Amino acid sequence: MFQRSTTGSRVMKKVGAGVVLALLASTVPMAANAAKTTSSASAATPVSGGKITVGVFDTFAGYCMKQILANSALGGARSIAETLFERNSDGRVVPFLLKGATPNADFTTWNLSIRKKVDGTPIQFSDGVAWNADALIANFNAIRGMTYVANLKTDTEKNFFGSTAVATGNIVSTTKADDYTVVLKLNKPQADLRELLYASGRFIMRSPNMFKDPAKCASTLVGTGPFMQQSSEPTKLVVVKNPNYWRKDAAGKKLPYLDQITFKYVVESAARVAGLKSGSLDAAQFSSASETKQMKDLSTSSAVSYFKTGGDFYPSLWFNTSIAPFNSLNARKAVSFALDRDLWAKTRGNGITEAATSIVGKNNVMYSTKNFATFNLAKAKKYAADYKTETGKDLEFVFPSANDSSTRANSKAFVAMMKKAGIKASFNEELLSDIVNKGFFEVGTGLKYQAAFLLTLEGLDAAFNYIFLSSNMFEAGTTNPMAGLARLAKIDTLLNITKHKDAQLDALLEAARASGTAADYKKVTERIQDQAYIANITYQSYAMATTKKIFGVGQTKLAAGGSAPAVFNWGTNWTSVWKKK
Amino acid sequence: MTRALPILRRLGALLAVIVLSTFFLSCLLRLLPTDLVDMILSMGTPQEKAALRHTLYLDRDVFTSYIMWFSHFIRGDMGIIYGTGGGETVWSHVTRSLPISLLIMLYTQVFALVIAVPLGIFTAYRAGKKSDRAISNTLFTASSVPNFALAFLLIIVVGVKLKWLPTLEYVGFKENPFQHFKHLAIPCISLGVGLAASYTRLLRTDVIAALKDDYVTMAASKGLSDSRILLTHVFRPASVTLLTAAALNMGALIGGTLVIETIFAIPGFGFEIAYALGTKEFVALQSFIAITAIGYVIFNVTADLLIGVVDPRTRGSR
Repeated sequence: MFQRSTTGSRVMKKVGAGVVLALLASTVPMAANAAKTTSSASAATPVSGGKITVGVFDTFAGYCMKQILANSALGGARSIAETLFERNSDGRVVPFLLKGATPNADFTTWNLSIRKKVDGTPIQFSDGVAWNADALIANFNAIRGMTYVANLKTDTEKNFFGSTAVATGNIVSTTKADDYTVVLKLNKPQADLRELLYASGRFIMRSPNMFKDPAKCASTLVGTGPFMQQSSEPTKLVVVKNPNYWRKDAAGKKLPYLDQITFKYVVESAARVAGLKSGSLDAAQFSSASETKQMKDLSTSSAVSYFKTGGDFYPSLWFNTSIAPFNSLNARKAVSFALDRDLWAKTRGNGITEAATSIVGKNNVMYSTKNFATFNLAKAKKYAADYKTETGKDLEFVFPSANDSSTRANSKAFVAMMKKAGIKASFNEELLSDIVNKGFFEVGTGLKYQAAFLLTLEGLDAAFNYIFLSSNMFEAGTTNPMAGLARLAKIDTLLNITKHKDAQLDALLEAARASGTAADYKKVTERIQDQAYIANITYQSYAMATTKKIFGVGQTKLAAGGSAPAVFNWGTNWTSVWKKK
Repeated sequence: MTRALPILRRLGALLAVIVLSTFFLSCLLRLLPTDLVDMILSMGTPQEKAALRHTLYLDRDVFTSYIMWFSHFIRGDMGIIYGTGGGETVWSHVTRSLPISLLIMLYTQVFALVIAVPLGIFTAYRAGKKSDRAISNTLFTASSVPNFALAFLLIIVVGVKLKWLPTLEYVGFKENPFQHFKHLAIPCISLGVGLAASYTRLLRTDVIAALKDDYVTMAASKGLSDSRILLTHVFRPASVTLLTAAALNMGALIGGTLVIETIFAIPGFGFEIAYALGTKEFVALQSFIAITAIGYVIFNVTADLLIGVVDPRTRGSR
């Protein structure tokens, strides 16, 4: 919310450039909660052929482990490469490129069985390589950082290096049982491994050929998906139909229907709206981070079909607990109680954004309102006074703000809100890359700022959020061969954004991961809210709008049954989308 | 030799300006509020950072690093785009985007001149009359509207409401000439209207001044027609200011294209600059701005030389 959507994506990009994970601004769709405002008619028979152009607000930095694609750009990549699991329109994570994942009794060993085509032959990447155990292990090696280690001398740009290695820190080994089965061993029990491997749609499976050449890995994405990369520039990705795609529709017709999709970076939201209405774009994506006016306009427009996610993305104010003033609980609570979320939703969110009632949204397994600091000016003032008693100082802090007009306006509104509680907040406008660098990468202290707004928590599950909340992804005694790598250890430390050393929180996290139950994850949330490590103002959502000539949005059937949701933060599943001629 | 001397002198000045401007640019890179190497290699080891510092010539003094950068720059070796895994060179972005922007600038200038020349002469000829006042006031209004505001206005009216023209994207001339012009119509009009207005006003003023010159009176007394006097005896000398303005505006147009190309998602040079700014590709940005500076200087020198051709009286004084 404090960063424009593009900002958020740049955050991701930078983060991805070295570190933060393939997870950062990603997504989680939330098909289940996707609020579909208006929709295209879907009764007509799909027509094959046609080209469409989709306006996105993120750029295509590349496709290897280092280049983390943010939000809408990820949607383009996902039309080429697919994931092990998908989230369906009911909100459940279901197998996709995997046929299934079966754990042992204590969730420390998982058998992953690989899906084949209906006729029993192997699914293939578009370069002809078979999707089998070898390909899956090659992908795990890349995700876990082992490909990076094996190519230290030749990969000068470190394209094989990704923060996904930290996200999968709990995976100790991957072993081929047979051509279509891989056994995955974990360091500690994890009941929600399926959600981790879904990774908000980010753990795409690449052709093993991509891991032979780091430069090519960055420039050319090859997957099993319905489309193939034709060309890619930072501001434009063109994909064409994969003639050998492994899936057909219910009527036996070959998928996908479209011949070509051009994903075009159109940074100006007003230009995206005009492009849709003039017919220059067939579809365009929007984010409530700073495009609520446009979303409101489109939601009532008869000229477009409009699809929106629920508020399943949770921009947060992260307090740096390692330095003053937020090493004091009083300071953290004072700020948390000073946040007038309803006012913010009305004035800054144009009625599109939803006021936060927890650090995560209602659809997330971690959702709990217990200990959440709701707006209470009296309490805010009391905690600010307590802080002064505790330290002898007024509560003052500085936070960074990106320098675009929308973020600046948000920052000013936040400062005014703090002022009402007698808290002196101010912001420094900085390059976003600096914010990210200092926010995540400052060695030794982690978050260099006293506090910073970052969008990292999201989705329905906890597996994706876990990494930002735990103080250690490579627990002591792990046999993960990557654990000793200094570069990864550094990232692991830095991804603990608040720099907490809360053993109780870590224990709660570990227990919740082992059981995978909502009850245990709620305890995590309640601990975080009790200690006010994070404060949230509103939840964020994403929307996809199409012209009336586009059909089939949200109609894509998944391999394990059910449908893909209409829109995620990374856009739409384009497999079953078609264009009326 | 005497005719070549001013040209050589001009070229020498051009080189000096280029060297000075690019040198200051390379200094700016060192004055960034953050360490460029840290920005690119946030998680790099000290060895990796040292290697990159060496590659970017940042481990040498300002003058040496400038000389090394410049010697590579003029050979088209401008480094790589770091955000895309090192697979793309800055030069490839330049060759891909610069021709698009030059075309937009050319079309914009042609559009502006096609509007300005007849209107400038006409309003000068009809100076003080109702038609002059009406046109001049309209142009004054037009020139006060920022090009991006005009762009959005045209997008809404011509693109969204009337659906006559597309509002996004670029189509190459070879790909489809009709679509090429259709896609560039609103961007070029947005950029050109303000220019046309200022050109018209400049030309009007110069034509009015020229009409008062003795040689015009002489031409009229010889019985030459008004149109011949205007076109042959008035327009040519009066166009000197117009030419200078057109050349100077080529530089200003680069700034205009930055905004317009972003609005219309045209992958031109202005868009590349905006993209490099947004993604903090400072290595690329240094080369992009250097090219802009060089372009600006070249356009001005070209204008100087052209003015000498159009108006021989200026050769000695310039």
